[in-house]
Amino acid sequence: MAKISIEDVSFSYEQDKKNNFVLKDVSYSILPGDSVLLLGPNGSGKTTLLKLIMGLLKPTKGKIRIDDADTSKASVFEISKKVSMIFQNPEKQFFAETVREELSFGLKNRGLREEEIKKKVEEVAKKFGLFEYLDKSPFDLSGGEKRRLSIASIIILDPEVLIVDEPTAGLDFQYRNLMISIIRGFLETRNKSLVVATHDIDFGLRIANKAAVINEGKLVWSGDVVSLLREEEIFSKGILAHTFTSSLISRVISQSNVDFQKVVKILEELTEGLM
Amino acid sequence: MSTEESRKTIIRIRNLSFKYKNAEKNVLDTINFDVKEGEFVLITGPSGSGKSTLARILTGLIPNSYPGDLSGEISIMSFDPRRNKIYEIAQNVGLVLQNPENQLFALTVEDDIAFGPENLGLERKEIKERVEWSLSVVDLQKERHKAPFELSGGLQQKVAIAAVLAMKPKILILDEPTSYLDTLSAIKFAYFLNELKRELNLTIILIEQKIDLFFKFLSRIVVMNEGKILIDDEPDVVMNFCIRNKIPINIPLQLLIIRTLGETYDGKKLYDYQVDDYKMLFEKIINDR
Amino acid sequence: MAMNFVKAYQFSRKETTIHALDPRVKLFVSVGVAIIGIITLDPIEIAFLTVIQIIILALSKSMKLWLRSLKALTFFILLIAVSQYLTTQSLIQAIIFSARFILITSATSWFFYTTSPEDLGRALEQMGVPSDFSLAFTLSMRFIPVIANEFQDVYDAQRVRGLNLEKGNLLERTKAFLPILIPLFVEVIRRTYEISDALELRGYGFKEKRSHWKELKLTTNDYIFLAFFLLTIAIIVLHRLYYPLV
Repeated sequence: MAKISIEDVSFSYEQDKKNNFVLKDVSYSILPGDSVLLLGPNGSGKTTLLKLIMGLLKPTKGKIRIDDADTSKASVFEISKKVSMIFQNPEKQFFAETVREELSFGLKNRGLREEEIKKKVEEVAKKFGLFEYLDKSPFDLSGGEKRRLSIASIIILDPEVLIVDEPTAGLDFQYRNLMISIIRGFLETRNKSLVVATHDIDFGLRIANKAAVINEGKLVWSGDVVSLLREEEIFSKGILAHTFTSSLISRVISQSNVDFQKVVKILEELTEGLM
Repeated sequence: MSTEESRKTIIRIRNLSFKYKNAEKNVLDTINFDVKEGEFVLITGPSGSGKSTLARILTGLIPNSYPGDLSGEISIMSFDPRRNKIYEIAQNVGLVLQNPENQLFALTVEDDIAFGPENLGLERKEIKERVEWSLSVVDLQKERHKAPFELSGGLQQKVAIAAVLAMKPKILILDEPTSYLDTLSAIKFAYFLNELKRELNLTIILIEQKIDLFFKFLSRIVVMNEGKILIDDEPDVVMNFCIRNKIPINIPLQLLIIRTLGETYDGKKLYDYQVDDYKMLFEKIINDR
Repeated sequence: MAMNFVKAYQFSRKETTIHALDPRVKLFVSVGVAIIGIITLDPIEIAFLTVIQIIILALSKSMKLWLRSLKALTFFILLIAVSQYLTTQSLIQAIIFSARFILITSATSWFFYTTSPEDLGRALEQMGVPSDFSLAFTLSMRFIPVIANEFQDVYDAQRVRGLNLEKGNLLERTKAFLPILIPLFVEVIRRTYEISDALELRGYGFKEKRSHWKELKLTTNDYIFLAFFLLTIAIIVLHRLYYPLV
């Protein structure tokens, strides 16, 4: 049930140079139940914004509040009780000897009791199809299992807001679908919210209801996903590019008045008719 | 296209199997694979299907750097990685890896391009010529004094290609080059690659998940799964096969729409349809429900 | 903290006369000054050389970088001063020793600020160092910032999972580093493989002696710079003759 407000946030990496802001005067609110698609070219500042929300970076100017608490005064540990983040290539963070230990890590850091940890770990492991691997080394898992484990080790922290950075980069057809079903699973619980930065717009359209577009550090557009697809300027200016799928959806919903969710569903049935 | 038959076969592989040292299973299992001069071949398939391993064999990294059991008949422009060193093959077959960060060593674009020719011990004049040529081919003259890491992902990818081209290969292999590019850069990259191929008369083997970006340029698609080649044929034949057999790869939506309507199509004309034509077809699908 | 050290010695591309000097000349002068700095205990000589280093830093537009790195090294400078004072009970001694440290770091830092790793590699190679060594050097310089970023990424990822490095006793704190060090180590190994593949694909190892498309040649500026350096040494020697250290 967390609400995040980004208020006039600017950020620059080098404190003494005022001229190169990675983000400039960004204001945006993420409400419970929002699933926000953060779009923009490579290097536009998407990842920086995600790190600012997570408290990994602190704003140079402006404020980010999570339920009225100022993130620049809170530690990442405190913020992580409400917000969590899945990094690009999350498999890179494995360190434990067993899957069980890897899943327990966050809960242990929170100081939960042994029995409680055990219960939660097994529950999440079942949900992510990892139960039979609990005593195996994370490094011995297959690609898909690794991906599931890396996400499970974040979902187990039960965040109210989940931040995801480029979840589909380098993924094949099946893993991409896996990401979609995991994220949808997360959103099934009422009032959870999601912020996903991606350049895979086709993927984004399948999970998001809101969109925000960043270009050269500035928030140039925000609104719901359907209105983004009706927006021509952003695509014609070269800030975003349509894929064949997104341009088709855009035309169908704006010219023929078909419901967006219905279009997405039919398109999925078309592609997943394969499975 | 009719000259395809008369073109020279430059890669010929028969019954190729490979097992990495200490591994239990073969990564590649009795592969047969030919490439003719001037072809644009796309290899796709789920991760772990053996695509990158095949690229490593075609460039001699296997078995020179990655030992294992390699069997079968291999001729890559008459080289055999079991007899020839990587640097011999590298002057005929270039490989561009997925992540440019790990294949750019120098602090300026031009020095990076010169790195390969310097290794070959070429004369200073020849290196200079190759650097100029590579820069012009990828259109990076303006960036020549910049650090490769300061460039955008799309341009970094171009530097990596220019650096490989400076080795003057006839065959260019690219391993998922668009993975970390945004949509616009990826679309531009597809056109760039096709243009490059035409201009330099290259043979291109592209390992890629995003089939639709390249579809109209391809002479062939190869689909791999669990170390085997499932199908290797003209793009539309391969796509039909994959749709029929429910092979989990990214089939262009255009094909799926046409197939769903039960219409036959001509692969070459696929991109002659406009988005609005597809919109009409798609609306037909919606109304049919 | 580790990052501070990295930044203290990071090359920054600028177009100045100092940047354009031959890396061999710069290496010679910088090492020369550092050696004098190690040998001398004369406050006037130290001051004189430090002023010259500052002039070089100013000419190479690196003053800001240098001041920042001094700030990062404050702790060490104080440490040297305090330990000298405790052992010799002399304030002057303490000041001289820290001033020497500043002199040595400034001489080495302008060298690294103005010399790209590959220029340095080129210099080493053309001075007869085998190409494997100079390449290893260039590559490590090139990948230090990459690994530092990688460290930050893993650290961030584990912080999100509640990792706290500032909690508990020494043993617990050391153990807390494992979730960062293990992934970092795995990633470095993976990268090493990829880099070595990329090197071989570019024909590395084909010829025992690589060729160089840019040969280092001394220019007028290099000779002027060298002349100034020799003049500096002459002044120091003269100073020594007239005012020998007691």
